[in-house]
Amino acid sequence: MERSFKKEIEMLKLKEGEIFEGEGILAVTKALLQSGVSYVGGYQGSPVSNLLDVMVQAKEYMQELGVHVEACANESSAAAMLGASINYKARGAVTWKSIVGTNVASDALSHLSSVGVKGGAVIIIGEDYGEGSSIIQERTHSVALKSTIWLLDPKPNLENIVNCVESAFELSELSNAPVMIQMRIRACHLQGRFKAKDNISPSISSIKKTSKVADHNYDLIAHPPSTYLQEKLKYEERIIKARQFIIDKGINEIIKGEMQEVAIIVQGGLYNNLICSLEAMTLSDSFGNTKVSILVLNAVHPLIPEEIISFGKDFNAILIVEEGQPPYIEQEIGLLFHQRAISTKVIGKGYLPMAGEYTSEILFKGVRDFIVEFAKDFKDLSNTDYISEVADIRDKAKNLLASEIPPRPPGFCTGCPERPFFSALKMIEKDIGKIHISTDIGCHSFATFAPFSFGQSILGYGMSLAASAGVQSFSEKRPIAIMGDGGFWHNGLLSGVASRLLNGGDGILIVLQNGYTAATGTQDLISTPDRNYRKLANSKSATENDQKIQNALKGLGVKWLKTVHTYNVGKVKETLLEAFNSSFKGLKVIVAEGECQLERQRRLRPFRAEKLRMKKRFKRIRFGVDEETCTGDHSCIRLSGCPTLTLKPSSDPLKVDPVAHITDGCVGCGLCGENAIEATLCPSFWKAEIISNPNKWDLFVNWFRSRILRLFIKYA
Amino acid sequence: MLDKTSILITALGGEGGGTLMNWILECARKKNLYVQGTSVPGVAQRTGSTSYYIEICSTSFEFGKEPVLSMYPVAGMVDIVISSELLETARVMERGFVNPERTTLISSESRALTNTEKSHLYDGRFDSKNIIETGFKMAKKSIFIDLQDIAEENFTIISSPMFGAIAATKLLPWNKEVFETVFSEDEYGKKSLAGFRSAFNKVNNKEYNLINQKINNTEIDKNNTLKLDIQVPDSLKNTINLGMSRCEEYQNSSYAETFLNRVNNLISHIDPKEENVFPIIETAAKRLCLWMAYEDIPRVAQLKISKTRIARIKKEVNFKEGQVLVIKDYFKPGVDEIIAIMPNKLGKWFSRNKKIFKLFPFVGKGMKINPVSITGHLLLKLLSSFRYIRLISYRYNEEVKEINTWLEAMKLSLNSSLKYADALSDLPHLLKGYGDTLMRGKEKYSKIYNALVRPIISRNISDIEANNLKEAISIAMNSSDISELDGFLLEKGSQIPAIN
Repeated sequence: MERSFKKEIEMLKLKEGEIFEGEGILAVTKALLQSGVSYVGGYQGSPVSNLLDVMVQAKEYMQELGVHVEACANESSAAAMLGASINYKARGAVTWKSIVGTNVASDALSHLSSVGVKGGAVIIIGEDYGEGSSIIQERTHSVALKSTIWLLDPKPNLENIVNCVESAFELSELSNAPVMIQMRIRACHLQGRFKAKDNISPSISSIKKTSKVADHNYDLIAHPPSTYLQEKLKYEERIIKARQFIIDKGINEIIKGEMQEVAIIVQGGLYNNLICSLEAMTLSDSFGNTKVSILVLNAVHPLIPEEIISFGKDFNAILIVEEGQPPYIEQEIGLLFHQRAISTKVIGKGYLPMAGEYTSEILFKGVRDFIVEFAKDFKDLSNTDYISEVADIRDKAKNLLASEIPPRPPGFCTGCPERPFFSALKMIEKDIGKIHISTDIGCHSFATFAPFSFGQSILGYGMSLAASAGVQSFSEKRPIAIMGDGGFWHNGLLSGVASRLLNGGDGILIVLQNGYTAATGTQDLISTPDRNYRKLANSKSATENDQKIQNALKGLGVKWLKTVHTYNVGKVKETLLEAFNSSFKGLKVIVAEGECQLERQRRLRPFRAEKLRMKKRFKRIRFGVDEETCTGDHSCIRLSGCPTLTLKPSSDPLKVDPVAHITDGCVGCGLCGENAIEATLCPSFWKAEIISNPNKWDLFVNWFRSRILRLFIKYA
Repeated sequence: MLDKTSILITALGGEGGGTLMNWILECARKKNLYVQGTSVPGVAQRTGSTSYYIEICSTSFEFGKEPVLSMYPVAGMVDIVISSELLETARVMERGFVNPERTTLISSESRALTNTEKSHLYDGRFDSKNIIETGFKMAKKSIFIDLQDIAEENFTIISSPMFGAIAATKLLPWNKEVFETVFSEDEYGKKSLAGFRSAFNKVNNKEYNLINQKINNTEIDKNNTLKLDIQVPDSLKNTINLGMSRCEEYQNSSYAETFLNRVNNLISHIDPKEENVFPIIETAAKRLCLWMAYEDIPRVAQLKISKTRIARIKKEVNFKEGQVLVIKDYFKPGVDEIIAIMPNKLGKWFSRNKKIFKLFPFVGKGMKINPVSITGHLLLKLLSSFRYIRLISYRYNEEVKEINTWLEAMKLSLNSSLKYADALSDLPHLLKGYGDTLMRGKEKYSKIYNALVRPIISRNISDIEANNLKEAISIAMNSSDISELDGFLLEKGSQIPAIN
């Protein structure tokens, strides 16, 4: 990864009393160090990528502290890493994006939580839910429940988040259970402040190694009959200790209000949104002094029955503000009140929507309706027309704008090496008809959007080949599976390739090798081009020489294996057709390589600056479109979707349609030229090579050409 | 109520929206004001929509005694919206974040077209003017200014002019000097500062909301010496002039005369006193000219070596003195393009025996030609000289037949229904492009012509038929699925009794 986290690393070094001002996820990272963590692991993914990125880059400082940092190959390997805390009193933390990462990790998590831990084991969950999410919408809460992992959902201010992280380690050690801390997208990106503490160098660590190997203790093996005992421990010991700790430490907060009829129980993570909605109806001031009583659950699992009963029993009704489905908290409290014959009504979904993020606006409506219904005598609500006022504003804007606003989903970056592959696929489809494409997670899933609109299914990270196994069994035309190198190493090699080879099945797999897990911020993979090689590659794609993917495939027994450079669109087409038409029955794999353009550009910028500074020859490439020959049918765009290949109004007064135009952001990747030839587009594309500090030969050729042409034009 | 200012930033991934948020936070912290910011970048870092939200309090607070600030922009409760792109401004307004009683809207006038808009076969762009007018009505105060342009002028990215525009509104509780402290001393910082100052000055001097002045009216040549049979409006005269010079450049002066005669012929069929008749002629003249100057191999070659081209490319790529420029043009003339320029009978024969081209290895192969190299220039010169045999070529013959048929239909409809003539004048719009695109366009054209024009043109034409024709053209332009057009034509075309 070429991105630099220099500034962030400095913030990790802050000392007692210094002020940390920065992002939520970085605050968590700092809190881990303040807690004396021994080892950290994880798998990248929004919104928690930065946690690991910063730690990986802060290698030197981590070594100084003795903190071992591991960029794991997937979440499963990260979760299993926490196994170190089963036998040793060492604190460990891992992180991933959830729900997907938790799903991958869940086998190891079940085992870990069954056995229990001695050292604090904390999992930082990036709860990728709601606006800005890139995955399926499910709750991590269910995993916490079924595996007896405690779940903290801290109030989103940095001071509180940091406290929760520190408490989580204590809670984990005291109750022998792993703890999850759920961080929502906006909380991860929250810019705030807290007072830092000194970092603690862990007592067992890479610089303070232990000589004592843990004893063999069958009770700590997740295997029967130990597992029967372990299950009992969960509910006879661990949860009781955990509840006691949560009460003693005052993890949850009770805010007392004047209203007698109703109260609210809220997940900590939604606290700010709730207060803002209450403030809008003057039920609260800006500091959270509310008229309605609130129980803020910074710990959402386990719940504390006594705490909830003593808080809620005297009200007519309590509203449970709990995002997502199923409403586990509402169910648990409802059952509790029913069993204890408490008459307070427990209400949540119904007043609040079952699905989707609880923004202040949604909470405003739900809370207002709830109060109007259950506190009939309460007249002190203001701003009750807010919802209809906002609806009016929206209607007015909609009417004025008159037509539907086209969507703007994310797409391939300028010069992305995956775009040419999909251009080739689109051309192929024109010749051989529609193809069933199992697609995958990664940058290439942007091909599911316009202008490519490819793909029939996504089944998970690295799952595409496995997902096409059934389809290929009954399809006349061979289906294809596409995965990135990230997905390939995360899961695809085993779930897909090994499984297909085991069954001797037919099939086509395309591995798009851009060299990094590009979609999550270009983290390194096992097949990431070597740093030295990257330097040598300079402006070229650095992925072409790495053979790890090919060697792994060959090692497994793949017989039909081709490698193509994606920018060679003709060759990609040819190879794809070969795979479709081949008489070879068995797995056919095409590795389509081309280095991530973001990484290439980050490397290129200083390289170019250096060349220009040293007055050395440097060739810049840019593409363009001749307006006169462009007839404005935009077929080039439908094959590309490059952000720099766009439209501009025609300057020819006779033409009305906008013409294609390449903006200054063009990085000269070459796709426009390839497509112009391969798809027989219009003859409007040109490529310009602009040579700065030309050498003598450049100058001579240039001089010679212009002299001859001048003569020619003169006498012709 | 707490005294605070809420700011919503909306931008596209990669435009520095996060940098802008951090600059604002940095200033607020320097002024010791309590501040909070959040964002949802997610995968939207890759050119999708992103948004950032900031709340700035008017005072500082002790640790542990801070107010609770919102994690989300709340509809109707945002004080400042700043947008890097016009369609995103529309999106923010649609979502209710611009409140006429509260919100100051600062928006760049620039557009980054979405793939949906760009992919359209003809023109799928969202109406920019409408967004700006909506902004005027939706915001308490609105500032529309081309911030992208300012960024490019100063070789920086749009976040710094956005920052400058905010500064100039004086809505944030610190002065310009504080704003300027965020920029570093290095080269990037200096460029950013220049972008900041440029936008600041423009907004400060009220050089914004100038959109209406920007629309460039086509220059009308007042010393028009064109002789026409009757008095016509200047804009039509202008179009005819443009058409004539285009045809002259394309072929020769007698070709320009042919164009003029054809237009005059159309004009002779109108009643100049009728309302809205001249715009129909103007559209028809434009279409006729483009049709007559269809793109073939010699035309493309001619344009590639035109005298002004190299200078234009140099400007486009920021060519500087002392550099060397090498250009490669991409060509892949297909069989149809080669047949097109053959003499008529030869072309006819080859078009029936296209397989024969398989014997020639060079046909259908891509070529890269450098128009400023000696061989490249000579080759293009040679290809362009094929225009001297254009008027006996296969394609010319085919096109002339179609042009005449359409002109006849135009004349008949000018006599009987102006509404129909209006629709018919735009029918050749479907004919454009090369290769497959051209074939598809021709297919649509002839389907519509055969279903909705040929059967009725010699009869009295009703408004319903005019509407049908208009709608068919619209379907042909907007739908990528030809079966939709087929369905429409089958339904509407069948109501008309066929005339043999």
